[in-house]
Amino acid sequence: MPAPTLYTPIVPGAHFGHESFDAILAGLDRGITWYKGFAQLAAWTRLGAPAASISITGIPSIFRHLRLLALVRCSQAATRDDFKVTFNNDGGANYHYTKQLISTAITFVGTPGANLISMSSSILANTAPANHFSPVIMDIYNYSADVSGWRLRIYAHSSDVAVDMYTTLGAGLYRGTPPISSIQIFPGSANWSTGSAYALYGLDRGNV
Amino acid sequence: MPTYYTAVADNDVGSGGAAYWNARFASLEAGILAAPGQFAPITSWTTLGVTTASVTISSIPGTYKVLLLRLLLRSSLGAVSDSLLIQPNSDTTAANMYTRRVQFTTAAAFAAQTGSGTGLDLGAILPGASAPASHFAPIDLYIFDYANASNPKQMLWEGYTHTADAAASMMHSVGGCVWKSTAAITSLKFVPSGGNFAAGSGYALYEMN
Repeated sequence: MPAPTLYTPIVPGAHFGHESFDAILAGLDRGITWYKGFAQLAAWTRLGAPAASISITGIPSIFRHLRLLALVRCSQAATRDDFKVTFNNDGGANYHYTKQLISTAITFVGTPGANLISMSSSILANTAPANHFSPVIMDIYNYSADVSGWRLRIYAHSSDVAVDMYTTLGAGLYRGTPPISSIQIFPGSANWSTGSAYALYGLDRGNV
Repeated sequence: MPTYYTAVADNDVGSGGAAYWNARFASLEAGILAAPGQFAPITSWTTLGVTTASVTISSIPGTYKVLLLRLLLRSSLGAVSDSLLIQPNSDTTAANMYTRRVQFTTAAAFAAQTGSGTGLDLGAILPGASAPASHFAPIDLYIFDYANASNPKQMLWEGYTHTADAAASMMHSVGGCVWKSTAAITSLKFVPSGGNFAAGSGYALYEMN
């Protein structure tokens, strides 16, 4: 058996009491907390049927940051549609965001006091090339604080032509009631398509 | 019932010796280390000791969902910068290569690759031999659903290139890619367009499950 790396094993024949067990368990606990970096909070889930929204609930408050990964497409009769997010089902004017939609030019949006986060025309919709989905990375910083910052990027390949290949950058703040314990993502119209997928991770158990 | 160790029965408490407990703790540690982790390294960080023409990471297991290729690179090309090409499965088929990139300095420069070239072209993102010494470009490339054998592969990437101590030479690049093959990605090759990777360049591949 290889020597353990997270703790010092009990020496055969030596006395061992609760201190020995506590030291070993603490080492294993650190291994769980730190070794893997991101902790998976919602396993990678692929939709088997269209869905009006994706809701991730029961987010524990023990981490400091969150990362949402998604690969989505919606059924709106268009090549692209909006990527929308709320936290805690909060529909109040608590969201502030900027957005840059980039293809052969950049369009800029800045929206204070919105009722949700809306990255317009950022994800693929029904008439985009078949089997293409938009990758999304959204980082939410300090999600248990009074004000949470976030940043996201999205790619939408709505055709094989330069002007139709879009990168979206977004960033902003959420000033709702902390902590963020649920996240809702939904398209501007219609439903998330079958095959859309998502996962959620926590980083840094700094709030323990 | 626990997954990674054998639970202790009530009447066994206190009766086990060191071996009894060490076996359980070892099982727990093995479970921690072996479980599909998040952002866990598939390959440990590797620093090139010599100038290298290209790097290939092969035998990528298909058990994860998202890959992160994290790079810190410099080219030996006798210029301020060089381009970086990504070749999934060492593919050089032009028709498979699509990228959208924007490069921010004191202005924004837009570019797209639409079915051309010999790899996914991330643009002039590598500092070359004429860039300040010991400067390497930090680059993250996320590959979603890389083991899917039905869909083209979608990617997001971001990098920073410092080719001189001037605002116009400090470049933040972001973009997306599609590798239009439906084959599962089992290897990743990356290569500078003009030169070689300089010694000191580094890389690692991580998984997110």
